[in-house]
Amino acid sequence: MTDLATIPFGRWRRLPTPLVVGGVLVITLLAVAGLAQWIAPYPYDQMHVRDRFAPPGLRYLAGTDEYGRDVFSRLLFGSQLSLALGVTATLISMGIGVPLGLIAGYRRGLTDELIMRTLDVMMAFPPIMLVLLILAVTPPSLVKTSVAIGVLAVPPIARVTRSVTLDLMSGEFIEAARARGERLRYILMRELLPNIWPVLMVEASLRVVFAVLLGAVLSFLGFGVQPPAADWGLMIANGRAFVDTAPWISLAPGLAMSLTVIGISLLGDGLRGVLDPKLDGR
Amino acid sequence: MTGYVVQRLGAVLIILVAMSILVFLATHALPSNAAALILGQYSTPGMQAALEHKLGFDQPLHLQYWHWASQMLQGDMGLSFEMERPVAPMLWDALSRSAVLALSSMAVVSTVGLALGVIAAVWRGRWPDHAASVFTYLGISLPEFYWGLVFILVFGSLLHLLPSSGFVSLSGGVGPFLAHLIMPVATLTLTLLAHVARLTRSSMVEALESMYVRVARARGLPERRVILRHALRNALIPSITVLAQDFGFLIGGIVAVETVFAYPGLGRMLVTALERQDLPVMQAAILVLTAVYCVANLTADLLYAVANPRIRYGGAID
Repeated sequence: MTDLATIPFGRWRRLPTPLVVGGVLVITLLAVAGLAQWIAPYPYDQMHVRDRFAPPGLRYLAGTDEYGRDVFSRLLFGSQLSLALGVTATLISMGIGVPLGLIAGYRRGLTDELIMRTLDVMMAFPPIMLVLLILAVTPPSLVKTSVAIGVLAVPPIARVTRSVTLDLMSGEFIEAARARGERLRYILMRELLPNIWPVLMVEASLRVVFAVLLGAVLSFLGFGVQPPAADWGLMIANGRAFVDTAPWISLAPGLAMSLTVIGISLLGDGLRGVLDPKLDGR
Repeated sequence: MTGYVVQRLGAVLIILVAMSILVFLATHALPSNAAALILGQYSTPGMQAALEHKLGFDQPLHLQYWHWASQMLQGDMGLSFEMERPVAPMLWDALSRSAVLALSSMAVVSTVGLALGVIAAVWRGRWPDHAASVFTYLGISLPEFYWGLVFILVFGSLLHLLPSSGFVSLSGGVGPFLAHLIMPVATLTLTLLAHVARLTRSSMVEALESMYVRVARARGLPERRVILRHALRNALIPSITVLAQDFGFLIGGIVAVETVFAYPGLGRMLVTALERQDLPVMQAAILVLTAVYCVANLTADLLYAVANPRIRYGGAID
């Protein structure tokens, strides 16, 4: 476990390729999501009735769908939804999972048992069943999908946090902080958390990927974001009926999704390589 | 060990009971009126009240649950609202078709995944390693339903090689039976492969650097034997566990893949029931899938204990 600041400059200079490629992809994604309003050639829901099923070309870069909506513009707007879902879900799971893991690892004993056994019970339920059940019995919305996916990822995040905390507990800096009479909040937030966050960053990148993919499956099945939203999963689902005649409707959002997922995973992998040299080459 | 198994079985039972309560409550929180759904749009409030009485929906919730749960335990899953047929036989048929899909996928995933992992470890850092990692990356970078669509486009619509949807039972001939399975199995395999392949690779890398492998090489054993008999045997333990865990993931994957390929399994049955708010089918399908998931997890843990005698269950393990 290394803190970012303590990594010698030389190791930053020869950045591993995955980190660079992943970083570029993620920055592009963020830029696209942020600038979609301005760089998209058309509004995401504008229908060009005369140009239905237009193949990719100069006028419509990625073709149009069954309503004549520009697929490329919808892709750009879709990045906002995917990113919002991935980031919100991950923030929720980290917001709950990290404190739980910290407390369980720090207090140990009964508190630890209580927290971890409760999480074990949560993990014993098949995840997709829970989400489907929640989303099917209540009206769908992006926020609810994010919360459902976020809550699902609480147990693994708490577990990782706890195991790293347990490792750190034997460190002298914890003993020193205790001897100084620091408050629990200070020890958790100022002493433990900064040492855990490199691991958490890697875990978070995994979780964003997981959330984006699960969100796509849910909207594909019809339990996620609802039409006419420009959601990638939804776009793939819509294009299913025209996969023979107008494959671009489904293929283009899939390509966008894979670039997103590959970018975030590479970034996570690259970060792990830099932060934890022991894992190099594994 | 026996104590551990009993304890775990008890946990599975508790989870099933909890899930049944959850499913029961959730489905009763549904916005739609079940009686109106069954009787159709021309029913009168009087007819709906009469049917609700007949179905027992006017009784207190705990009585309804008790009634429902005891029928479930006797294998009576009620009547489907949508099709007005008993749920149980439909569900067992669908489950058996899903099992065919799941088990064939697991067989392919374990052979291909182990092989890829071993190849990547043996040629570590060279092109076979890179090729394997690109291949596995591709698989997990897209959701399974997307790969399903790509397969349908390429092998169904463009090349006309394989049927792109449906299912043919074995009595319809071995050829058509297999042909309908190839694309769904390939889709599931692609998305599950990465986990096993990567884990096998890293434990193989470790094993290949170990003393016992160096000793085996020093004794002049052929490399093939060193890799397969000495290294792989020891590297297998984590891979076996992860395979059993993946079986749980498979259940999620199956829901999407069956929908894409219009494969008449339990996953598709569940999605249809959720869409049409067919309560009895929904409840039964979720419970059965939960049970399968719990048993798969239990098997994973037990396999781990059997394969790795260093683990002693019952004591504190951190």
